[in-house]
Amino acid sequence: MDDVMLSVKNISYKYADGTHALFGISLDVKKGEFIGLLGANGSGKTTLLRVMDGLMRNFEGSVLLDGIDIKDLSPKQIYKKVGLVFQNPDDQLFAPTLFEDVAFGPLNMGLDADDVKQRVTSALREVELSGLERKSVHNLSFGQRKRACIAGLLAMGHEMLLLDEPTAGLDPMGEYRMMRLLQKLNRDNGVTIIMATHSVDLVPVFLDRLYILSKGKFTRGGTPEEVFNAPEDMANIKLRLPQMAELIYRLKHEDKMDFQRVPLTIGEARREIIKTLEASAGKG
Amino acid sequence: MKIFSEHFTGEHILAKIDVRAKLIVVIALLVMVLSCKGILFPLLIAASCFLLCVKMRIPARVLLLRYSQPLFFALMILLLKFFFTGKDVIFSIPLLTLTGHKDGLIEGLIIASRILGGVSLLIAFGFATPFTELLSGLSWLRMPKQFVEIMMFAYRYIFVFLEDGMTIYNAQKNRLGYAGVRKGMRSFGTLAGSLVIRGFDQSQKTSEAMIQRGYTGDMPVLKCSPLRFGEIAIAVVLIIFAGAIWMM
Repeated sequence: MDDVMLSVKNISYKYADGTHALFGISLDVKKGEFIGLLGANGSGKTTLLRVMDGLMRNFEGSVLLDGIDIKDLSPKQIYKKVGLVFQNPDDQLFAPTLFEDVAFGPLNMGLDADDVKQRVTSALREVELSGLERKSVHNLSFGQRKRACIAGLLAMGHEMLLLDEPTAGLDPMGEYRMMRLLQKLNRDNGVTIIMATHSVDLVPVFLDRLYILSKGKFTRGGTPEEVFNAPEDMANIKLRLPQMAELIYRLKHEDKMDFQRVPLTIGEARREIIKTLEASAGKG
Repeated sequence: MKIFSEHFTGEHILAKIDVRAKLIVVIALLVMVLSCKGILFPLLIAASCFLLCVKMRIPARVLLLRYSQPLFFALMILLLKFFFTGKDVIFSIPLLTLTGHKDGLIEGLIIASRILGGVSLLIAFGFATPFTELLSGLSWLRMPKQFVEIMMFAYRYIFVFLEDGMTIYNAQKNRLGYAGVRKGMRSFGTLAGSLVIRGFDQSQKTSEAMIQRGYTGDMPVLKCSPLRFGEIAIAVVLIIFAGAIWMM
């Protein structure tokens, strides 16, 4: 397909200590998609992201970036298009001030000072960190540091962002803010996003497609509705349904209420409940 | 924990002066202070720098903390020189086997005043200059790249390192790791070892983060804008003025 940006074909990866992290993973990511990799700790999410980012190269199978095998591309060619946001922002932010950190990528691209400043200003505006340019990185809050990591990649004009647990360690408002930011980048700026997460309550609201990763294998994939339609599978891989889906699932199976579909958000659940109550009132 | 430039407010006149002009003046003054044969010039510089810090509204507690170490060293050297070097005896305390020497006192005063003058210059410069500007100023002065890069990483990771150290220390303390000298020593050894391992781990991750943002071995820095004539003129006038006092 023409619009496939990243194609992962039959990837397997084994660490030096013998741990087999990925088994025959295949995935096609189209331009402009917002994809989630959902899995428990140790399921292989981070390894897969690092393989897709070209940080791990001794894997079996192939990763094609715009149709070219990632092993044939130089780091410079890969990182012009794809950027990985690490789980811990302290692993990623290394410059003394926020401005310098965000400017690092554009400077390495050989841009002139005005262009660099313009890109940094724009990236910081995108992640709502304007005005903090001169602040030391270690004085930023955890949420700000997470957003600063994204700004560092945005300033390079990446077409694809890979994010490792972007909401981990954030408070509920911080989680929501982060997801809104990613949604905005995806919808307004056309950035293709692949994020690893185990936050089942957040993903249905924002993602186009979802893949469940368990013990290095994809067990399910599809839209959030399709994926969360099998609660038993979720329990098997040490995850749970989103709370709304769990409520409706219990009402359906334990209280024998007649729901047509499994809602994933409060809004959907509200509509489903009203519809079911109206239907039963009509029957009565 | 804050370092010097984090007290930088940006409102003071010194903040608006180009870092390169400040660096040139500081280096010139430093050479004068260290090569001065009297005590008046270094003390004058120390007093001026102290007043500058006060004018920059640096909290007294912070200033005291910054000055405490050089003051301590200056005092120690003064006492050592006074009591243990020289020939011209002023007095002696046989009970303590201490003898005060006039020439030792003069030598001690000269060294102590140089310490105070030099350190005061650096303290005032540190408070008046954001750290990142200092780095670009040092690059402009053709400081070795490696030195500037190490300074940059040190500035960033010293806090991560301290945080990690404190976390491990607290975790050990919570489990009675420091209940007793032997246990404390063992815990401290583990702490130090863990920090070294974490340091290696961190370096690996940082290197990956840098590579994926185009790092190829050269740390890029924003080029400084051309120095303004007014700032060069002020710097030259200041150096000439200080030089005139130094020669008196």
